[in-house]
Amino acid sequence: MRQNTKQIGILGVLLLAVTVCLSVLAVLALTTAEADRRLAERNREVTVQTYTQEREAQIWLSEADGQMKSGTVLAELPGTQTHNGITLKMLQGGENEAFVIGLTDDGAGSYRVVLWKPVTDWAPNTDIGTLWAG
Amino acid sequence: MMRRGHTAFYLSTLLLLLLFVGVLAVLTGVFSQAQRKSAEARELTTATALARNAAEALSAAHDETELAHILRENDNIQQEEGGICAFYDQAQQPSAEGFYRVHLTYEPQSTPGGTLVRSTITVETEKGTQPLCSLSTAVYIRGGQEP
Amino acid sequence: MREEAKRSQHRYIIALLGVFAMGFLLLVLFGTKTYLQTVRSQNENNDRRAVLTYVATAVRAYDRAGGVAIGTGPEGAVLLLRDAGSDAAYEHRIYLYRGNLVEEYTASASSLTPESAQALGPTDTFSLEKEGKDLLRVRTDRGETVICLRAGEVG
Repeated sequence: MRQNTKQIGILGVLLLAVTVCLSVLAVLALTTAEADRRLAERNREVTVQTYTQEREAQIWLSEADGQMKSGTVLAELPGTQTHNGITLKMLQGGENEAFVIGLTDDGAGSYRVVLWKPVTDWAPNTDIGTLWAG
Repeated sequence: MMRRGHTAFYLSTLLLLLLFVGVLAVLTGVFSQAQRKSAEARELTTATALARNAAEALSAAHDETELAHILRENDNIQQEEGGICAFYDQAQQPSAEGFYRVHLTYEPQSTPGGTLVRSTITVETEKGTQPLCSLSTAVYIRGGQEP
Repeated sequence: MREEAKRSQHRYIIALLGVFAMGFLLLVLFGTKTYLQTVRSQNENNDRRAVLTYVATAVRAYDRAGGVAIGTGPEGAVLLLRDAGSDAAYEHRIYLYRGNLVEEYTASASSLTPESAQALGPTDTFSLEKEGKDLLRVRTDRGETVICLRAGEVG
């Protein structure tokens, strides 16, 4: 009887040990897969956001072209600034994100796109705290 | 007395067996879930890449015919009312019987200077009920621009 | 009788142990296969994102007149991304070298130095195709990315 109890005890300990090891493997597999899925979702969100900005930029360009066809000069388009011959328009996206369009005058009421890119406003953190009080 | 001993023995082994089955069921479930999430991540990554490529092709095209021409490879294009469907296999290669279906709507709108084309691009799999990726973009085609 | 009962219980324990061992063996096989597949898939997805998305983002960052050109490298085409104008002093180069997509940022006049280039991700193929004036098709064995230049042209 005692021997039987011992044998059952050994089986129980074996069950526990293997369960713990396999549980660790299961949790590892699940967290790896979840991390991969989250990254893929984040990639999708960024892509959707990028093309939403692209759409807004193209809409602005179509409106600006219409205004120029009606006689507005490139440098006088509303909401633009001109630097070094390039008329710049910044379209604000989300937090710290914007889209910059640069146009140059091609003569006879025409223009050329010379700059077309998303920009991220990033201010480096210069506060490094107190490294050493001595 | 002996009988009670026997009963206790068999009861404890039965309990162990039940525990074992429970552990097996739970862990198999967890591993299956991990497999499922991994497949989702793979499909989502591919769908996003296909949507992005379709959006770029739209930006380069001056009309719907040119868009179909840019996307066409291995006979993977189906022209539909108001849009185009492109098919790709699981390795992201164009294929007529593809696993991924990329649907682009083509909505041109006349403006004083040219044409503003709006498009909604959705990517689905042949087995999915919901689109994996859906984005909205546009391209402005100036009047007088040649393909 | 007692001996008989003892023996049968013994056999019962051995059978139980056998069932446990079988069950756990199958679970270990299933579990390790799942974990290997998960990690492999994660690495593939990461490589795809690193290689294709990075190249697309880099090209878009240089989307201006004279910003993007195609050159020739040790194992095929080189993507040349120039700072400003076609006579820029520095350029960003992306090309294939020994099974990896590599990049370097260096003076335009200097030759390629693949040994000191930074690896972006593994790929056995890297090809660049220009379609029309402004469409660039980048193919690697991780997939393909299509980039349309809005401001410049592919040189």
